[in-house]
Amino acid sequence: MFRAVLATQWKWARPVILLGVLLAGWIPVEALRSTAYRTADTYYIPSLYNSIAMASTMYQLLALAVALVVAFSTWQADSLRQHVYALSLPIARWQFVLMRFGAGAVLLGAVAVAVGVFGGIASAIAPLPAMLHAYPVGLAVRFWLGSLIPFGLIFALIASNPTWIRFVVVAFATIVVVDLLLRAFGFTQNTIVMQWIATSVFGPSGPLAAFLSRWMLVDV
Amino acid sequence: MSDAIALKHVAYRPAKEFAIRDLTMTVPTGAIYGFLGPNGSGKTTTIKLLLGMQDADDGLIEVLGHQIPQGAPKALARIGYVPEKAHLYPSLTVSEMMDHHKAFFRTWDAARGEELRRQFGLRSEQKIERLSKGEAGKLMMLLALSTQPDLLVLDEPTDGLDPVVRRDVLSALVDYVSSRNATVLVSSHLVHEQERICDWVGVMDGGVLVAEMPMNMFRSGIKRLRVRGAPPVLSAAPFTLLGRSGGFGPDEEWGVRGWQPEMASWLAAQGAELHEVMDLDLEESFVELLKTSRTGGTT
Repeated sequence: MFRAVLATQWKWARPVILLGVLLAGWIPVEALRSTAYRTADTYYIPSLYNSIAMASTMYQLLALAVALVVAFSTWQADSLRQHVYALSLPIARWQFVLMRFGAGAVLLGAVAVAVGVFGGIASAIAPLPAMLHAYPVGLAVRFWLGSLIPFGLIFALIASNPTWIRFVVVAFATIVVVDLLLRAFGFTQNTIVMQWIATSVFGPSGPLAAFLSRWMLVDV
Repeated sequence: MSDAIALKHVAYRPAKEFAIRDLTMTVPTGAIYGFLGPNGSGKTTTIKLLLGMQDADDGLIEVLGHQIPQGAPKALARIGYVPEKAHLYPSLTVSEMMDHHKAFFRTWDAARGEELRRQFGLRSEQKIERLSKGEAGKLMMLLALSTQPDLLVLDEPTDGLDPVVRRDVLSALVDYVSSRNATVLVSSHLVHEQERICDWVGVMDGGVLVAEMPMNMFRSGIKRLRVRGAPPVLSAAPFTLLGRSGGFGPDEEWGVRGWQPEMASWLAAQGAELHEVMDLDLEESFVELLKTSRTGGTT
């Protein structure tokens, strides 16, 4: 059953997974390209480090984009038909949801594997300075776990019933509008609620905190 | 005979303006049960309740010996379901959809599936989003029949299909039922079609089951009489008067339920002359029944 679920999700998410794999190959090449033109210049290591830090942001954006697209594509076909087909299958709802989530995690894992493999190949070929080391496996694991968080959030939101989705969207939009109005009319100096949300989500204990740390392929 | 489907005092209110009220309904094992009712009467909602797709607010639902919704997965493993609207994944091909379905049903008969695919003229590589309505209907029937179900639940399976496709779908259904003692619940507003294949009938209107009985009883129980000279008010009639209207000349036409030939003497005692007793077909009986239920008459 899982294979059947995975096969459908692969079909729906195939373009974005393949694009993710291509980008996973391109990012480390771009990040480590400068090693081919290295000189004895003392500025070499900081500039290499900067390009790897830039690649970190690209990995994060890639993880976020792939996770969101895979999450949306996971439920799209079911949502369009009010989940009638899925509900007519002889399987408990929680099992079906778990299989859908598992299949999404496997697809994200494919991109994470590409991140690890291409990162490993690129860092093995590139002549890195002695004090820097490559961490392709660590990066791949971080990529996978990091992408699972936004995937899980969107997956859960779309899998819930339309009333709940409407409630969340309307509540969020109301908060943002009220917050902006309060600031525009001078009642507050900052957008308090939005800042609080940003801190809660991206802060050290927030679910998306991993996206503010660095995902370094090469580090000391 | 045990019941394949039993609903007892089921209540469900999916919206403010519509509710299923105190629904008690039984589909005997082996029956082909025609589930009739106008659009919006609650047929599809009832079907979703008995498949565990929606949870009733009150009452008991048992399907193939399993309590619903708790036992829905076990019951669904033995049910072939064809919904009112195509519900399949549009980007898959016919063969991919068959493979996907097969993975969830241990009873999947691959040979039968292939045979039906060829019989219905469906190509394996055809994408579902490019299938015509008739082809999509055939594919849904194929998926339902290939699981070798003990119970087929068909919600308007031939609605909107052209006569040729309808004939194909119905003949596949009849073949299956005759080769296997399966129970069928078929919802439709195409009354003539139900009359040909069903041996039980249930009529739903406004969220209420207004009648449920064997088809022959339904057909023979409701008659149209041509009567002359009856008093304006009838007292203690041995039948139920469903409707009374002017007919040809001095004659009146009555729709009656529970008519027996010996009741003609009662009419004579009222000073009325009975000129003709007409059999109604299922559609006419259905319309008479709905008229009565909507005016609060006894059925």
